[in-house]
Amino acid sequence: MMIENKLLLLLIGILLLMSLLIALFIYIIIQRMLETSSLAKVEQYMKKHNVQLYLYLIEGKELSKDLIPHTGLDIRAIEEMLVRYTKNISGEDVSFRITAYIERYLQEHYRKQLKSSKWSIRINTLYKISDFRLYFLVNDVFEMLNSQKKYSKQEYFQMYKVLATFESPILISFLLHPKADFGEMEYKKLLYYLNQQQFEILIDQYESLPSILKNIIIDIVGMKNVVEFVPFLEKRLNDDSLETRIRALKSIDQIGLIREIDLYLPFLQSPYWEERMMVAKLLVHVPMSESLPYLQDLLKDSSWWVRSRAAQSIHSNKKGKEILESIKATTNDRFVFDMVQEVIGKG
Amino acid sequence: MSTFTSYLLLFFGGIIFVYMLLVIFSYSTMFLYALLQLRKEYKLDKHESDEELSDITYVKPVSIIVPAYNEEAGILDSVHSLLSLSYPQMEVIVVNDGSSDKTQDKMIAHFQMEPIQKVIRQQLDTKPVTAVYRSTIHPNLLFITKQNGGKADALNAGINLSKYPYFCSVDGDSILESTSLLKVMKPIITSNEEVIASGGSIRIANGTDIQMGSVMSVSLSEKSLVIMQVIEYLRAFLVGRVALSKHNMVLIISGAFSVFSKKWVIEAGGYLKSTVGEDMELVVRLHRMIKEQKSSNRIEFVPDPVCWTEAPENIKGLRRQRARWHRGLLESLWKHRKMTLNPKYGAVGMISFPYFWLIECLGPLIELGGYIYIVYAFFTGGIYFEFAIVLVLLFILYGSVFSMISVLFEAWSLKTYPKITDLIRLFMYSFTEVFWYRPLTIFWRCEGILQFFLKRDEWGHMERRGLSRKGLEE
Amino acid sequence: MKQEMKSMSLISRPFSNTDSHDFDLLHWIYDLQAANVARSKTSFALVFVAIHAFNELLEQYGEDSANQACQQISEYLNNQIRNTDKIFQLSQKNKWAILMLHSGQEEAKYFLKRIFQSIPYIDFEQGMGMQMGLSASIVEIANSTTSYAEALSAGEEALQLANVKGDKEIYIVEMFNKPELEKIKVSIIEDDEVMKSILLTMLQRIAIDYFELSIQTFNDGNQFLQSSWSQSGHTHIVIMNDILPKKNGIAVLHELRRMPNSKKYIVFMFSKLKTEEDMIYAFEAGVDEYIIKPYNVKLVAARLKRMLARLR
Repeated sequence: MMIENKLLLLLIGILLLMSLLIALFIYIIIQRMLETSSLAKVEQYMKKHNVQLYLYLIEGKELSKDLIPHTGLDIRAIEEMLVRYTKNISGEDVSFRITAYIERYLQEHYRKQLKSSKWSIRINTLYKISDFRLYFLVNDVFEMLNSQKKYSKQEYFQMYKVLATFESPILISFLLHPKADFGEMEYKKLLYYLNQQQFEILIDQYESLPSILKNIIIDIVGMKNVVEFVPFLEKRLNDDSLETRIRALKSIDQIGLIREIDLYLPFLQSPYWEERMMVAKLLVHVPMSESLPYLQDLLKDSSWWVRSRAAQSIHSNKKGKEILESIKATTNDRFVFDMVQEVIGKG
Repeated sequence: MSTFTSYLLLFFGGIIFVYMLLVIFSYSTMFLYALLQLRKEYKLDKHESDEELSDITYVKPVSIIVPAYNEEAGILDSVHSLLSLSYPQMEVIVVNDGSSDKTQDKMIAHFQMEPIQKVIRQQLDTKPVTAVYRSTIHPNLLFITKQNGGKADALNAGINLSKYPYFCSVDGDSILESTSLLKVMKPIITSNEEVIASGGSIRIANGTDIQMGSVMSVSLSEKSLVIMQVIEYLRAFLVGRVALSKHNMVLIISGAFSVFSKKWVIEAGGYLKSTVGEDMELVVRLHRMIKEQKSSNRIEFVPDPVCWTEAPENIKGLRRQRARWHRGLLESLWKHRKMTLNPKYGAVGMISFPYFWLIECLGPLIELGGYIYIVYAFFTGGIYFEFAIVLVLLFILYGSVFSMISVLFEAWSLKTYPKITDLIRLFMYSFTEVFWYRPLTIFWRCEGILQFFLKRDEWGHMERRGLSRKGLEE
Repeated sequence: MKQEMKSMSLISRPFSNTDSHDFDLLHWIYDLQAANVARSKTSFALVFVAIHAFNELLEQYGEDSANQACQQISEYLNNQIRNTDKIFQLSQKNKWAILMLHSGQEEAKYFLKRIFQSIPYIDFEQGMGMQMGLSASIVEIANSTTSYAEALSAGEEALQLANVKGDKEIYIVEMFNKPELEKIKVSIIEDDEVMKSILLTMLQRIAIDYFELSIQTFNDGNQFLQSSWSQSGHTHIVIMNDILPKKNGIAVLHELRRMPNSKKYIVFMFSKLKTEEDMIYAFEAGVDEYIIKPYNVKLVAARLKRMLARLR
């Protein structure tokens, strides 16, 4: 008897659950239908207005009245088009007009969206502030950063990115005391935006920086190809950390300025193949007459990576192919022979 | 009937009952998790966040490896889709694993391949490579031929040839979308290479209009067997991946489309040749390495639908595939059984392993027992009858309700299928799952378990590479 | 057909008169020049000159004096023309046609003004003399579709009008001086609708002379290559993305460059890839312009215009 009661209860429960699911499904289907029709409307709007937008953005003609957004769908369509422009079309005048357009017609819309309770809408808006260069919203972002409200890591990152995009001087102080636990990639992206002046401030404080920032600074110096920072990088070659030394070697290689070859010779005997490989790579920037003896030694290295690098460094020289041919002819080292063979074969 | 048998029956019923509750509980938890995750990203501008990554300054170059064994039907489409990937730096390596069909001729003719000299660095041991070709149209497309050695062997050969620090394995009959590679590399790039492997979610291509490797329009197949598989994939995605991935507990990222750090895979010794589930086995092995080296690296699953693959359309093919997958699962779990409930392996050992053992691996046996129990009880009647009805209801809850919820998720958030009629069909079919499809798959998976015990010495040479695993193992 | 009949009858007229040989030559040179116009893109001019008030001269001084006048004017004209020009006597003895190579109506006008400045004073036998008057018409031929007969009849008709108007009058025939528009095929291969429309609008708004762009858009490389449109005997500008569905840009390029008339294709390729290696490969594969995205629309338009100007 008892089991029957429970059974009935279970049955009713399942039936209820199913009808709930069916109701939900119907609701979602109706939503999808609405969504489909609004998508079609957005498409239509885009088709109808793209020439007008072109005339305004590219040719600088007066903005057509048709392009003033009235409904949410209009905004969606225009946003969609503007995003395409910012991603694919360059030109100061174009981005200026995009900013001007938004300042005039969508400023309040975005301001409201920044305060949305939905995470995804806030994030999307932050993206747009950087993309469309919405300088008039930077203060809003600044307020968000200073408020007591807790945001997610991705949001903080985007906020910092906004500050970076507009080269805000406050960014550095935020970077030193970040509101979220950023990874290397995030810092890299943020630091990449810094202008040289801001960068120098960071480098002056190098020793006191957290180690994650230290390494990234070394990388960015290489990525940005700033010759003035080579002495800074050379100092890092004596660092205790292998990681730091390798990064410094990499960045120097990217810049391609070897001031004093003696600085790099100790690395030829490094117990770590990564360092030996980096030297093999760096030696490209030194005249072949100077570098060849070292490269020939490296060609016999125990590590495949080092051998490969050394062979490529020789090969990249004008006379490299000849030199490699003669090495190939005279060597009795099987590994050297194979490596030279491969590098010559490629060219 | 003796009291003994009735106790035994009650005992079995009890086990099945407890098992059911366990499954329903764990599924509900994972669904809830997926719901929260998807809700958060609802309406997030994905395009925007992908775009950000495509900058060459941050992107890591990738070698795409396509193992191909008798793939003449799909290989050109697949390679076309790879060449149309939007990714700044990559190479495509097609490995012909001693095909007996026209795979080689087609590749050479279509992409104007020319033989090149290349010293291959034998970092992983493989069957000998006979030739290396390079396309004269696309310099980043390589084609190598080797003696037949199975899918794992072909992948290893591809790894040996690859020049970039990451490699991506793609099945020879799969189609990628243009942003797929970027999306699957995203966790690796954004984590600054903390993530050492990541896999994409797989969708069933049957019914979808694919031309020369590009998805033209998405629609649902007409075949009920395929529709059921679509639902199954959806559910597997929501149950096994989203939640587990968040806590670095994914054991399966599909071999049909996943990226790995080459350094780690080579250190782990490459793909294992003696299993049919080489992709899962590798992931488990990498987890083991991570934990044994006490590093903080992770393996992630990317929820975006990105890879399209052909599903078997007939019972025979599906049966073979499922039995095979299950055997593969069992092999991987068995090989690394010492990780089970071993606190040394963290959440993977304490949660993933028991979950996979109990629910994914042995589940079919218990469910099969449940089905038999119900049939038996209906005939004997009496006290078991009511109990059987409880079980039936739980089965419905477990089999169909979760499937229906999965379809709801699809309609609400994933939106793979744009047509409303397709969604309605999916929903209708999801209701029927428990009555025919579920018992079938359970039966096939039990077959897989049987094969594990009976034929364990035969796989090596019996099958080379039949239907590959496509990332489904609920 | 009708046109041809007309021209036949027109041609037959000079034949019945003297100097049919001369007319043959004019016809021949005309056809040669007309055919050349399309290729060299420079026009040539036919200048018709007549002695003004010739009938009065004939009445007043008689046939001999008139003949003498014609003779002297003919000599005068012969002396005035440039080396590259050629003069022909028309069916009436007081009328001439001058073929001016590589010259438009402006040059012809200057030429006539020069002639008009020093028209000779003709002394007749009985101590009488007369200042000659000339009137003229100019036909500039800038396209190859104008037939010899059309040009001749229009020129003679205009000469008549000028003659009626008075001495030193020039009548310019404006009918044939528009160069025919050369049709150039332009194909846009781009799968994004917004980007496609930007390129289309840009092309439609490029201001160019002498060319008519016929533009078609495609969503993917295969659609383009499969269409009969892609086959071209004439100049064909292809503007495309490197990443395309089905067949990507490099594959399309490869097929175009394998065609026998591959030189007719001018390929602009857009790409996000900005490493030198990628660019070198694209140029080696045969792109004419490699444009890194994001690109400046005005700059692309300017490059296109420059490219078109070189085609002239």
